[in-house]
Amino acid sequence: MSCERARADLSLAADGELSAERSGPLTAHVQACASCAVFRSRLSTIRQGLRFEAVGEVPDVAPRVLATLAARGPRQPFGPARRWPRPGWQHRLLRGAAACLAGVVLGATFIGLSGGRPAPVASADLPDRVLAAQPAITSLAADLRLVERGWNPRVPERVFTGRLRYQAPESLDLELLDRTAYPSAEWARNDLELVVTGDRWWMRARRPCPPEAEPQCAPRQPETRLVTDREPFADATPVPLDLVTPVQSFMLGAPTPLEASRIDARRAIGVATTVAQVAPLLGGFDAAGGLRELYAADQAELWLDERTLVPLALRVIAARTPERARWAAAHGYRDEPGTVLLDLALRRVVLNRPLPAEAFPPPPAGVRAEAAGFAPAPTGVPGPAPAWLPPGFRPYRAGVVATPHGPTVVVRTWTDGRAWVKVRTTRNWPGGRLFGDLGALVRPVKLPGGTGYSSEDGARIGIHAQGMDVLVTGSLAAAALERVAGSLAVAGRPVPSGWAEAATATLDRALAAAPGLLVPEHLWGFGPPAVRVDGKAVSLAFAGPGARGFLLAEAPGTRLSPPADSDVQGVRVRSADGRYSLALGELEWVEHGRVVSLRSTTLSLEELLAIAQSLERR
Amino acid sequence: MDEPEPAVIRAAIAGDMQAFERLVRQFQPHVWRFLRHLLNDAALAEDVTQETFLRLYQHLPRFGFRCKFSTWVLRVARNAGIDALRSRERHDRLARDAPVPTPVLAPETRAEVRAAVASLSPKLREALLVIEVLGLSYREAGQVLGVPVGTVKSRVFQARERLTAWRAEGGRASEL
Repeated sequence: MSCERARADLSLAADGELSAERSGPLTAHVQACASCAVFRSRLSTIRQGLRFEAVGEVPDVAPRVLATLAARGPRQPFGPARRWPRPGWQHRLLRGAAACLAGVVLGATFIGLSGGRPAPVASADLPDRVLAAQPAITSLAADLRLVERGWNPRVPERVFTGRLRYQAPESLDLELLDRTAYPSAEWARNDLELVVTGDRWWMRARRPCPPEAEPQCAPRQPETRLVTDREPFADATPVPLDLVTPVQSFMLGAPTPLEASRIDARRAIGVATTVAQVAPLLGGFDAAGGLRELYAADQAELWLDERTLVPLALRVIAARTPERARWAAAHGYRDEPGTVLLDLALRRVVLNRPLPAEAFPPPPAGVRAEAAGFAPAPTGVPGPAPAWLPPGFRPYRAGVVATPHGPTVVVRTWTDGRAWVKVRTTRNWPGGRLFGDLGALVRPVKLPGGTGYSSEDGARIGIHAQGMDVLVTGSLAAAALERVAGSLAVAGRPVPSGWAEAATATLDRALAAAPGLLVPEHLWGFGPPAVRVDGKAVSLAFAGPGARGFLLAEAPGTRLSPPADSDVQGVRVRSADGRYSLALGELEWVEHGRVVSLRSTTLSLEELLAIAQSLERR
Repeated sequence: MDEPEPAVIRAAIAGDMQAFERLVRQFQPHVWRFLRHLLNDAALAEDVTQETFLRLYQHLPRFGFRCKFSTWVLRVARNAGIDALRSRERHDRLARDAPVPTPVLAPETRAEVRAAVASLSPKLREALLVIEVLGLSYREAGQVLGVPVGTVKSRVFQARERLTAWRAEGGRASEL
């Protein structure tokens, strides 16, 4: 292949227009040709330069356009003397129109592949902006309206109204009144009240029922649950903090299209993404009488206040793929593709004004409390403290969690208002795996004091040291959290060989163990992978924002094992015959003596295929 | 780029100004970004964005749902942009403006990339921009620019060759 041909092909590949059979020889050429590699990297410099720009630069011409049109009066008819349309325009458009009709318009994919077509501009800095906006919010009060469609065949639409109140750093009141016009009085209402105030939370709601069990589902009456002695920023609390600033939903940030609009007299920016990314935000409503299930790759349009990035509206639209239709059939839903399934709106949003004392009401009298085991220690507790914290952070609650059968854990927290950091330390961890629920696949991180381990999404860092195990969590960007963990005076060691994370490796080690490994190139919107090597089998786990993520597993083999599930379909993957299982969310194929599997419960088949296309042999 | 709901387009065609406003707000970021790079002038881009939507309103009754609405809007924007370029060229000739200075290094920063793109000929520049800034496919780009797909392909490649071979004098492509 000549260099000129290679550059022409690189240009096509950059736009996702290179055929699969030409991509192999191109990769081989570029690997051996330094000047073509430079060309490729310059293409990406050009793309970065053109694509990324500050949000908020776009002027709003609508008022002037409308005023001009109003002054002109009714639309004028076309005169033959007009320059538009120019000769040739119509036949070209007709030719184009034929192409439009022939083309199958697939639902948008939200994988950011820098080797594929560019994502529309201006969203690259959104994750940073969301993180930066956190401390600006000390309180929030808003009215809520939630409309849900397709929950039950006999109830086409449910309507909830209510309010949300938040006081930094972790007090929250969410009230929803069920205003649905049910077919008859035998249908129970699903009102919700959830109140979190520092060391306690309580919730009054009906126990969730499967929609098909309604209206006979018991119990019909709401139940109240009260939990006291709550640890600061406890994982187990149903606190939908992403309703206030969608930090979790944007932690790793995918490049997503942005639009500008005005909602409720506020300038808003819109982000098109999938349900999986906004899962932490939607999670806040899980308790509301069992909302319907949504398909992870359903389209989600999220509108954020341009200045504060508080969510103002969220709309979920049923995806249009065949897999979506099969998912609906399997889950008993009759969603038409493209219909709006969920419409959430926050109105009368008031920020940073003092909230009245009754904003966070106490639980009803006589409710028996469950103690969560946290004992505050106002004078401080022994345990490592970070030497570095982001500016503005001050100590917040600290104490000890002691449960009868678990280890004793010292908890220290810091906050600047909304953003927080927590260090949990124990000296009697039984071992076997890392302390702190980091998940099955972790990523080793180099800390100044030794080795640490990061969860796939970078939101949790575990350190195993002599006689001490530490977990660092918080609502910070992964790099900042790593810096906090690195400033603890703790000498982290690799985990013992018998622990579950012992097979954790770096990508370099995986490449040494399995040369020719397929690795995604130019993949945006996902963090660096957590890698695991078991003999010649390698797993790479990639986490994205919200619940988005996928697992890439490769093992020697020349044929796929018999399908574990009858619901598989044949798919063409990278010029090979592969298969896709909807139930497992798994795409599998064989390539160069290796069985390759891409698995995700939160990405669509289209997105998995886009990732597969981006894999390159290393 | 998302397609508006057909009902909104139909309402706008029928003269519903609220529906038309929705279309303006949906497409103005894309139109403005494209024009800003095409014209290399934010203030002029704003004016031409406005002109685009005024033209669009006039032409709406001719939109027959034969093609994607977004492609159609961008085509109107592109034509308004080319008209503006031509009138500026005339003006520049009259004013005997100095030519665009030619940078001598490979563009690295965002500002350098923009300056480099601005020095491309309008044909190469518009082809590159509909692909890079708007993220259109080559087929859609062909519809917007009114040229065959093969022409899009070769113009985008030529634009990139010139931008990456920036060290060469006069901005001409050469071997790296």
